[in-house]
Parts: sequence; C-alpha cells; structure tokens
Amino acid sequence: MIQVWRDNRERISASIDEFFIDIAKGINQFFVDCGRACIFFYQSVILVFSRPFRFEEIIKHMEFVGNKSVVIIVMTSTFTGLALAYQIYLGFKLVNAVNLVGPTVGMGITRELGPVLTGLIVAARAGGAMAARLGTMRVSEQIDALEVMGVDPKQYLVSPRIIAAVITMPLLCAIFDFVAMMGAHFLCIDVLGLDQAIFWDKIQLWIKPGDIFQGLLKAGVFGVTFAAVCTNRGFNATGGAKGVGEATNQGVVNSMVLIIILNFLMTSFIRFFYAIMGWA
Amino acid sequence: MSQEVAVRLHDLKKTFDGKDYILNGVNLEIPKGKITSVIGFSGTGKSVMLKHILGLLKPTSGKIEVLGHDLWEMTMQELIKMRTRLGVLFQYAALFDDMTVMENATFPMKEHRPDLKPKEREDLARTKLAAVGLDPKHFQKLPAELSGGMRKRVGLARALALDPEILLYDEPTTGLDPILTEVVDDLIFETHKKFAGSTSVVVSHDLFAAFRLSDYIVMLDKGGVLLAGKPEVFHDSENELVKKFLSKGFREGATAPSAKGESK
Repeated sequence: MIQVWRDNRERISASIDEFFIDIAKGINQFFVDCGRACIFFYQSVILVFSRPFRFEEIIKHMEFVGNKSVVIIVMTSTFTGLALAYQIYLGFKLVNAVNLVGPTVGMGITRELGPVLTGLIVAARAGGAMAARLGTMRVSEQIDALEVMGVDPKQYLVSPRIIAAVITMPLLCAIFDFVAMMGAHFLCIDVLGLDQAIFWDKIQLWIKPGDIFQGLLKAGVFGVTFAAVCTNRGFNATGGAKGVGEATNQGVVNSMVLIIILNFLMTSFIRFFYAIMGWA
Repeated sequence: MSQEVAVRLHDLKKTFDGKDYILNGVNLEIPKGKITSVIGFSGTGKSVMLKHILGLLKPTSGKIEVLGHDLWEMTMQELIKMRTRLGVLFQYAALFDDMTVMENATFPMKEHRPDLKPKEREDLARTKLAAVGLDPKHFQKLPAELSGGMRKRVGLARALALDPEILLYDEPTTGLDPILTEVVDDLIFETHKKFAGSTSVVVSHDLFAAFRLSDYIVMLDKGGVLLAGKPEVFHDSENELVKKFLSKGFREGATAPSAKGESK
C-alpha cells in the first residue's frame, strides 16, 4: 500500500492540486461574473433614462417574464402551500399548537419561500430564456447589426428586460403568496378540519404588512439579480451554439446561487433594520 | 489616389491579446462612388478591418476616417449619426429572427425616422424590398421561413433603408451555392447602379466576384495591404502571392478581368 502511494505520489498530489485549483477557479469565476454583472447592470440601468424610451419593449418583456410565468407560479405555490401547511401541522400537533399553523405558514411563505421560490422559478424560466436569446443574437451578429444601425444594444435589449423583471417579480411573488395561502387554507380547513375563524384570526394577529412587503422587496431584488446576470452572460456569449449553451447554463446557475445568498443577507439586514426602527 | 475618399485607414493596428497583430499597419483609401473589394486568404484580417470601419472594434493604434470624420474622435451621438450613413449586409444577413421581413426592413426607419408614419415606413420598405427583388408574398414571413438568398435580399433591403452613403458587404456569398452566388453578386452590382453615388465595399474571398464587380481591389496579407488598385493591376502583378491567389481563387471555367466588362 505504502509502495503504491510512493510510486504514484506525484500523480496523486498533482490530482489533488488540480482538484483544489478547479474549485478556486470556479469560485473566482463566480465572483468575476458577479462583478461584471454589477458593472453591466449599472451601464444598462442608466440607459433606461436616455431617449428613445423603450416602453413598448418593457411591456413586451413584462408580458414574457410576468404573464407567461403565472401558470408555473400558481402550480408550484399551490403545492408549496399544501406541503408546508401539512408539515407544520404534523409538527405543531405534537405540542398541541395547531392553532398557530396558519400564521407560521404565512410567515414562511411571505418572508422566505414566496420570494425565493418565485426568484428561482422565474430565473430558470425567464432568465434562461434571456441568456439564450441574447447569446443567439450575439453569435448570429444581430447585436452587431443593431449597433451598426445606430441603436444602442444595451438600451434596446438589456434595460427593458431588467426593468420588466423588477416590475413583474413582486407581482408574481404576491400571486405566489396568495395562492400558497389558499393551498394552506384548503388543507388546514377542508382536509384537516381546523377552525377557519381561528386560522384567519391568528394570521391577522401575527402577519404584519411588513412581512409581506419584505417578501415583495426581496422579489424585486431577485428580479434585478437574475436579469442582470443572465443578460450579461448572454450579451457577452462567444463561441457559437456551445457558447450560447454555456452562457445560459452559467447565467441560470449563478442567478440561483446569488438569489439564495442574497436572500440570507437581505433577511439579516431587514431584521436588523426592523429592530433599529422598533418594528420587530 | 486623386478622387474623393470614402474611407481612409491610416496605420491601423489591432491586436486582441497584445502579442499577435491581426492588422499590422493598414494604410488604405477606399474611393467614393465605386465598388471596392477587399480580398485575401482566410485569417488575413478582412472582417476585422470591416468591423473597424463600422466602429464596432476600437483600433489598438491608428486612425479610421469615414466620410471625412475620425470615428474615434466622435462622441457616441455623433457615431450613432454616422452609422445611419452606413449600411451593412452581414455574412448571414443577421436578420432579427423575432421580426417579420417587413418589420426587419422598417426597423432602421422606426429608430431613426420618427417623422415617418408607420404607413409611410412600410411603403418605403416595400420600395427597398422590391429593389432587391423580393416577392411581396414573403413580406409577412419570419426569417426562419426564408431561403439563404432571400435572407440576403432582406438584409440588403434593411441595409438600404436609410439610403446609406456607404454599403458594406461582409462575405455576402459565403455558404451559397454557385448559382445563388452569382445572383447575389448581380444584386450587389444592380444595387450599386440603382443607388447612384453610393460607395460599396465588399469583403470577400470570391475572386471571380471581386474581379467581375469591382472598380478597385485591395488584397490583404499578414495584417497589411499587399496590393491595391484596379483589377488590371492584379492581373499584371508579378507578386508571387498575388499570382498564387489568382491561380487558386477563380471558380472553374471563369475568366478574370475580361468578364467584368461583359457583366457591366
């Protein structure tokens, strides 16, 4: 055994080095991408305020990001509400606190699951499509064509997408919250037989408008995040179909990781802010 | 060159990695009102040079003057205005694939001619599409529903939308069969004739087309201009590389400069 180790020591240590170098490269690339996305976001957002204003494009992308995500949001939120309510019911039943199932589900949905799941779902659906679309336009010279026609491609292609994501994400999150609560209500009242009056009374007592607003705010930030990351990856795609595939993949993966990280940071910041303001 | 100059490149250099120079001191004057072909072996920097003329790439050093203006001395607004004086037919037409033929052809007018009503824009686009020989039955189709030749026609109509002073063609016949290649070549020539006064710059490796169409030819090699002049200059050249390029580059059965006269 020791002899085998000695014989292959260099090869094994090179493999171990390579393994850690790959991890370091991956992390480095992630931060480089985040930095690039920030610069790209800044450059694109200031173009929103320059003429010609692209209202038509914003509406078109709002329809794509918003309307076309409603069905998938309704489906996932219904089952999220059902599953969460059932798990919390099972747990709270053990300590005889089933009256608190409603507000606990409500808090979980409005503060965390609503914005995060909406962010992840829409990042995968619309963010992926944004990266693929812009990547295809880049490799087929459509972005160059825009530029030589005297049209700023960032202003025409990127800014409207980011604005559309910022506007529609809180709306989608609100739909998620509402439908998930309807799912929880159905399970708790119609299936598990909890008292409807107590269910809503406790929700009214424990859930504050601030809980809902913080979720909507998070959703808006997640919208900016995935739109900036995915459009940046697509806009700068190189290398034909392979490059477009990689840009889409990287865009979606980076968006999802960022959404999860940002969610924790925002939760901490918001709780801290509420504590300072005396709202907590 | 005593005539007016549309594009002037002065000691143009470009490197992407800081080591290998794609363009290594290009000095060139493209005459106004003529068809100029830029030829050369693959990888000699033809398309890179075209992108510099369009202001899509910033030179590492050197100067690019288009219609008397230094591109990189301009503000963004001036550059945008300048670009409306240029029209480009990309290698694969680069049509916006979510827009119909009509929407593609009206797009530049929608962006730069807000004074025109939608109906007026469409009428103008119809004129341009008719000028490049596209059947009206295709006007409401998406680019994916068109053949390669039709796409090039739409791309050319779009390039002509704002009546540009310089028309640039980036490898217009790449990927087309020999018959369609001749059709596109004729289209370039006819378009140049119809839009009198415009300057055409054709980047191509199709020697036959270059000699058939051009008033002026530029051959690039190793990032610089190897030879520039009228087609006859190439025919009479003693340069070994030019000779080699001419001997390999013609399509079978085609004759070089003499064919130009017949075609024109």
